[in-house]
Amino acid sequence: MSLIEASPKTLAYLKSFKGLDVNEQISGLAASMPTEPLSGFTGLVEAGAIEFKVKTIKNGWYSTEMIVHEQPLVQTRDLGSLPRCPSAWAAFWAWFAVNVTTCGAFAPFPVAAFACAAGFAVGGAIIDFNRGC
Amino acid sequence: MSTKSKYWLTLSGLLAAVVLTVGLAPVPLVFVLGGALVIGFLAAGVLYGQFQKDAIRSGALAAPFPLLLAIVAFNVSLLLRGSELAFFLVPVVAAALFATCYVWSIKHGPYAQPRSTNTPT
Repeated sequence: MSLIEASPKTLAYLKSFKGLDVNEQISGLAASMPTEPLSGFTGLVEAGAIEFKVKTIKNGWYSTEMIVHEQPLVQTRDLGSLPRCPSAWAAFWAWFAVNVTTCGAFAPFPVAAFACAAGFAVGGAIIDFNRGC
Repeated sequence: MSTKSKYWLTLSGLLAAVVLTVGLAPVPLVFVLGGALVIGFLAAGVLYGQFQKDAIRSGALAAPFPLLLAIVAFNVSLLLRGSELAFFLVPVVAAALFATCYVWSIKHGPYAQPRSTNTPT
């Protein structure tokens, strides 16, 4: 309930149901979902991502329009294949070590060694080092 | 340009292409291009007449420095694969590998004079 009361826009939405007790509206909304989704809901309403337009049709009947506004994409740092935990780094270094030792055996013939290294590099594209994270 | 220079220019170009492929190509394409590049290395060895048993066994053709550099560069591009920075850093790594390998080869690049007359001049 304090989440709802701390959000002026959510309160305004609940108060727009003319003729209904706003305290009961607040209790009803608070009971309708767990805290985390409710926090997300009030956050979206407060940020203007969701807008409600309530019209009273007749006594006890309401028409509610929910408008979802386009939000700018949240830019997150996409790390791609970069290992994100110690086990991922261990897997990567193991792969690197196998790569060096195997292709190093072909060192007397550079062409074959380069082909081996290229094969390992392409094979490494299949492996998800972060699987163990 | 001498045949040796052309040979190492080819190898350096192929190495840079591997970096670009591994770092940037999406999954189905990376296998096609990667396979083609593996064949490309072997083809370069054949075309420039470098498949010489005696030279290989004697270690005269060994090139550990560019090999280690290539392995490091390939794995760096693997790490960058799929990240936001890949489009900027992978070409830089490829260019650096190309330039370093080619410059190194000018003084140190091993090359066995081909015995076959079918080599490009």
